[in-house]
Amino acid sequence: MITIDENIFLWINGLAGNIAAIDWFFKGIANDYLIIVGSCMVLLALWVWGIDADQRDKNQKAVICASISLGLAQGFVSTLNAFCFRPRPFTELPANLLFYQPTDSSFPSNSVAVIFAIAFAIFLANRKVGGFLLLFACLHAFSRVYVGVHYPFDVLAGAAGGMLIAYIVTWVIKALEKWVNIIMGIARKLYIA
Amino acid sequence: MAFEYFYLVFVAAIGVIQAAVTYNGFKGISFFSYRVSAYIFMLVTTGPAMASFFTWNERNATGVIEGGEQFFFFMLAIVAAIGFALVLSSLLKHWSLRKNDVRHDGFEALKEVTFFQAIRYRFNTIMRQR
Repeated sequence: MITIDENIFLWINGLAGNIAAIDWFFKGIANDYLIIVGSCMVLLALWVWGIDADQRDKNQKAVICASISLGLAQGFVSTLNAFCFRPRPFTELPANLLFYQPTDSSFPSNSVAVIFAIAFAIFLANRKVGGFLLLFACLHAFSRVYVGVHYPFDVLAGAAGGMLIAYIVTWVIKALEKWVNIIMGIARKLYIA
Repeated sequence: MAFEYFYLVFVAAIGVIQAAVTYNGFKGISFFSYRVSAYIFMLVTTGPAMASFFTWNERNATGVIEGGEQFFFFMLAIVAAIGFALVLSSLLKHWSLRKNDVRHDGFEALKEVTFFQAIRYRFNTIMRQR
């Protein structure tokens, strides 16, 4: 399994260093801020988006699920990192590193878990916007391997963990809909929802 | 570096808020009367901010903001951007929307009045009920 992971890493990362423009593109996509801040900007827009109050209410509940999933995904990765440390691929293999050298655990990918948690929570409520976010999440996951900071299995585990958390959070929020509606009602009285 | 992060998130959020509220007809939070003005505003605010995030590692080669600090500055920037949008739109639209009634509850009301006009209406309603 580890050998397969390393071989796939060497193949994807081997694509780096050939065309400067593609390297520059994936370096930008792989950074810790662009995709996560971009996704949060989509959440901000979704909060006010909708042709009527019902659609907006659905979108706002999806934004709440995505925000909780984001926090839990971050917590999930931090907890896992405390028990399991996997060295970064560039420390063990002859990698084309296009990025700074992170020192924390490679497994699972933190940014990938967070971005997939946001994207999947939105996807469960809004296929169009969620699909768009999932596409960017996949691009980010691929770019993390391309620039040499993660093994493929790290990003797959991050994506699976993030999506699982988003699914559970959405299910719990639906189960607690009565309480969520009370909170939304208070927010409505303050004209913020 | 943390200030740069805060500033970029703030600027990006202002642009996104303006484009989204203007598109969805929330006159009370929009700085603009025309949709196209809001879209241009988003292009000149959110566009460069996101481009700066894209090139973040070229400017800060080893620069990473620690998770907790990043979360703090992100939330601060978002709250500041929302606050700024509510205050400035209330100042800009106060005269043009002052004769409108608050006919809807929640966010929907901000299609007709500014945030502070809606809050004042809520406050007056509570006072009358007492």
